[in-house]
Amino acid sequence: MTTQEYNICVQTHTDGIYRFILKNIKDEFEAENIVQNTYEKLWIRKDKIEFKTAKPYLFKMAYHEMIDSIRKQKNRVSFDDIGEIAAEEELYNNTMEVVKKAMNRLPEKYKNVLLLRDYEGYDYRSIGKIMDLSDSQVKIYIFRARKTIKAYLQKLDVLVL
Amino acid sequence: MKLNAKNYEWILFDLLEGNLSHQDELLVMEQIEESEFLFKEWKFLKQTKISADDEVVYSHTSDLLKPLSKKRYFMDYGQSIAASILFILLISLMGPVKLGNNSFLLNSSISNYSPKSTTEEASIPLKKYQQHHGSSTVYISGSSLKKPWTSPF
Repeated sequence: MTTQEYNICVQTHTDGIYRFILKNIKDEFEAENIVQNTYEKLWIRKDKIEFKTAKPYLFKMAYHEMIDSIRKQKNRVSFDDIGEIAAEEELYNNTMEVVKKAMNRLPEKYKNVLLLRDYEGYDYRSIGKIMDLSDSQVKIYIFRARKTIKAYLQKLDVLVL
Repeated sequence: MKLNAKNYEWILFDLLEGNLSHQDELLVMEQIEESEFLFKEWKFLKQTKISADDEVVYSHTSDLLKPLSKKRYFMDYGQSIAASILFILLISLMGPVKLGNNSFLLNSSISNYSPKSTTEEASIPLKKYQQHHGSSTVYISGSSLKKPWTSPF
């Protein structure tokens, strides 16, 4: 990859990576650090990486950086909390807000596959390469993520009614 | 493709994900419209599709960019050095021959110069003029340079 191609990667994929990270880590400063570290690694290895494969490579590096960061912080909400969602008597006017709230309560892997699928439009194979998962695992994770969000929406719908 | 209690979740999921063929999509949609339960399930499942927040952008993108000029400058610099060396070599090889020719021209050819080209033909009207007026010098009549310029104000 040339310097020019590296710069094209910066201009094309940075916002997407930043959104992907920020959805998982609610800390803007930490998300920015992860983006910066990801590009530093890309720059170091740019001679070994082809321009065509740079995008999934970037997301993979960002994903692993993020996992390291999360492990360090260990302040994430566990999947068990999902059962308490229905107890919240919050009313939402905007469905998208509800969906995002539900998504934020998903386990990391479920949330990440869903983000890569819906935000970036990746197919199962590409998501699998980024997250070191098989195609079928990716599909099952997306299925479970959607099912969990759907259940959350249905419970809120019942509460509102 | 018939939806039942066991398979409807996966089939609706495949419909949402675009994993079904066009024909299967139509069949499933028909069944969704016929069943109130499936219609509600589909309605909630469709809402699980999330869209990116386009307002969220990384504000330091320019800091990540790498300058292109450094490498180009180095290449141009290297090329210019190579070109300079080549030029000096060419001059050192060709120079004495050229100078010899030039000195030959300066010493011998100007005094013995007699035009044989089209410039000789071009000088015929001047020669005729000189025969009529008996002078080898031609003045341009009415030249403004003869009078000093004075301001009209």
